[in-house]
Amino acid sequence: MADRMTRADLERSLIALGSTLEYPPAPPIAPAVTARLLAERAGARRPAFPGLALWPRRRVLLLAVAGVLLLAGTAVAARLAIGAIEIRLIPTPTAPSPTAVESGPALGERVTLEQARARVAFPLVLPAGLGPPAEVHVAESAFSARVVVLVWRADPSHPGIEGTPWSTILMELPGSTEPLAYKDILAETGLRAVRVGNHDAFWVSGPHQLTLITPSGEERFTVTGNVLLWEQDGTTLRLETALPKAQAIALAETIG
Amino acid sequence: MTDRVEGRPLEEAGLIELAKDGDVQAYGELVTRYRELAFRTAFLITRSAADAEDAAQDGFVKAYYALERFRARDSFRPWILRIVSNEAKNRLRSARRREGLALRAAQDHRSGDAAPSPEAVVLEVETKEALLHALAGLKENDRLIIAYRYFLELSEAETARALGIRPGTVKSRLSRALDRLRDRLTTERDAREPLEATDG
Repeated sequence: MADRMTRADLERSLIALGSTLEYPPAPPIAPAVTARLLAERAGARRPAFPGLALWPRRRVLLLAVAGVLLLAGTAVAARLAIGAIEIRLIPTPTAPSPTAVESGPALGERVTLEQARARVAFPLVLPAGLGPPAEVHVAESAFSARVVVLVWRADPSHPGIEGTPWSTILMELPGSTEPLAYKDILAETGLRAVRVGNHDAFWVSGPHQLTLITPSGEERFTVTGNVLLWEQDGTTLRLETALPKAQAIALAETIG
Repeated sequence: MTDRVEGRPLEEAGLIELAKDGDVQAYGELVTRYRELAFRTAFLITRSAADAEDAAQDGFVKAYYALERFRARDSFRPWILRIVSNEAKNRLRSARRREGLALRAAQDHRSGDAAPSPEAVVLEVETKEALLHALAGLKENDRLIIAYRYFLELSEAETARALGIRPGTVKSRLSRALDRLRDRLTTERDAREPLEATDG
């Protein structure tokens, strides 16, 4: 029969073992935790969907959890916001079907590129290689900030976003400390932290809703395309395409 | 083993106060500070990275809502570990699965690391594996008290709070856990060396 180790030997071995244990790398955790807390608070304070406020807190948490599990891997700062766009997690779309982001009048007043440049306080940026946009719109948003929406048509080499004639929708918002828009993502929406050049960005894939805060209230849009959100040089950019992540990021990196 | 309760107490207390007032950002900062420890603790219990991440995340969310019950004079570290470890145990129970031995010890020191400690050199690979195996066979609470004291280096007082037991019982519980670990090591070694055991 083999001898039992002495307690001192065992303790020494355990300490040595502890110093060589391999743990998987710890995920960021904080972004998902704060997102859940903010989502809950948004639900409690100013519900985007009134029904939410009436639900027991535990149920809301449970639903927020389902949405947030997709956040695993997010590595961006704790507050889930990029520039003027704040991302909120919502359980299910209970609101009446909102307008598609593509419907003309909802995008704001149609203008030329030059007019748009003259009407916003930030420099407009365009992607390289897509040519001039098919349409340019300027919309009023909260705090007298104007938002510019540029669209490019789909063609054989630029696949269309489902249900729209467009291949690319680029939204440009001034940098702001107050959110000018909310992105409400659902449980089935994918949310990933990515990088566009040197900038932290979010990649949102799957159906979600975009809410623009306007002087007359909130305008909600349904989004079917894949979206990149990031901030560069003080401008918040939102790029919607039908492209997969790597190609979308490559396109985004040409914007300047 | 040192007691680390005093680590940046003012700053941390400030963050906790802000979080109690509903400052989610401040709470996020606390999460960032303790995420590694929370994740490792959860991993030592669940032995699955995915479950450990979920347990840590759920634990931190629950802890936020329980902050009112956190007393300023206590240390945050064992308090959060207790919540996270409970989450991890719940997950383990509901999952009812053991995915073999996910815990591994490094075989070689990565290049660029400081020279291995004398203890690490002494510890033979064989012993490491035997220890890991024996640990995996222990009950959760035994494994956890050993992990807190020797792997995560919590003080006795912190271990007591993290386990929710009286400080006076840490020593005796640890002794019993170590005894059971030694029993397992002996049994398993005998099982591996049947001939030697019978002949000897």
